[in-house]
Amino acid sequence: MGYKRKKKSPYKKAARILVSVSVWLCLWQILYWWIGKDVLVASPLAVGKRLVELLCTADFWVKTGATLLGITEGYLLGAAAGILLAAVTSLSDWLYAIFRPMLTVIKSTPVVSFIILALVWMEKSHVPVFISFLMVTPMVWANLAGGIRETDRNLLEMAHAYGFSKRQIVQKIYIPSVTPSLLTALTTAIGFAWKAGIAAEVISTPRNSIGAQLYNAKVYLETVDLFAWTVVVVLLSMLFEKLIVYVVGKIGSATRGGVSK
Amino acid sequence: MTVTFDKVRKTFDGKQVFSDFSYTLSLQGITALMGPSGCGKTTLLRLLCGLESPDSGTISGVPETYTFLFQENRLLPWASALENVALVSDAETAKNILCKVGLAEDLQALPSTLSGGMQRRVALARALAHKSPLLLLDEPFKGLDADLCREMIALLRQEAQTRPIVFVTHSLQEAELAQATVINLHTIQKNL
Repeated sequence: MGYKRKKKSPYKKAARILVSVSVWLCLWQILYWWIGKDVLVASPLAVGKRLVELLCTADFWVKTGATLLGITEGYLLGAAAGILLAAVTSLSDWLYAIFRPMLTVIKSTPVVSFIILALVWMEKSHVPVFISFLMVTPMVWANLAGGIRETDRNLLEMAHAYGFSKRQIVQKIYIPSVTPSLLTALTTAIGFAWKAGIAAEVISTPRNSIGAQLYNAKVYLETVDLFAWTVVVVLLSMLFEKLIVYVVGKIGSATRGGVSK
Repeated sequence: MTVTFDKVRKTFDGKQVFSDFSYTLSLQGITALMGPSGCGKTTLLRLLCGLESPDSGTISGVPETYTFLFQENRLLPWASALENVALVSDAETAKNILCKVGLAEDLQALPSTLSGGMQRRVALARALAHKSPLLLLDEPFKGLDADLCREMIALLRQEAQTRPIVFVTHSLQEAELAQATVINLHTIQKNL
């Protein structure tokens, strides 16, 4: 009798998530009791209450929407630029050599330097968009360029021998080959876009933004607000990641095409 | 169809495979290219179709299009057996040829789920589905058992009625079954 892989139960998965979240909430509560100062650590219950209060205000949705829009804009522009640069620099070693220093400079410069520079260069409402863009571009570019370079040479030679068109080579070989590295880059970049984007908002404090709320919470020592807004950022980042993984997976399978039985 | 090699030299990493190799290869029916490992059988096939260029010398009479079955299967791992074959033909032809090589039940299977012999037959089906004036096969029956090997040779003999076939093999039995003209590369090079 052959080995049969067990089908994963959705209930078990939900139970595992529930247990994991409960464990961490308990640890948080214990930490709160242990520290015993509301100004240093807010209790999970107080944060939960504050979140519910925030959710009932129109202002919350305006600020969250503005931040979401800005970071999404920066992320999508960064992803597009990264994909374009990877495609262009894969065409020739010369182009790669020309663009590579830019990649190194962006990757090794502290993000705060870019935020301060951006504040000088542009309106503060544009700073988070620019910073998210700047974080995502090199990450997508480097990963995708690596994926393109590592495409199986044997498959490319086979395509050449069988006279595949350029479109077929891109569609049938390059896209499926690079999809895993692109997906990794796009999902890793989400965290960076959010972290850097929110940091840019905290420093540049655009009127309608989560970052400005975090800054105010810090100034007025409203720790509960600080925690509540941070939870919002984490949840948004997680939802965003799920959406991107879903969309990229769909695009990958759609562009690959297929033959019906 | 005649392909002429004139004073062809080919070196890989300092190792000379061909030195002033001159030979006229008359392509008709099935030709079996034989010889010990490393004597240049695969290189000759690759030179013949232009996948490799000679360091010096000329090769003339090569058709513009050809079909090449590599020693490795080189199947797209993310595509089903049918998709792999349909890359070079229409879906109907691909399906028919896969049925001929005994894979009617595995049209939608991914290469990773197929055995080595089945993967070889998908690669062979792809070569047969690709229409060109010349069929070049590098060890086409690698990994196939004796019965399957006989069935595939029968298919090749059918195919040879429409276009010449050159295949690399280590087995004289395969060459005899295919009723092929045997060319021993080692003997030719020794006599040059």
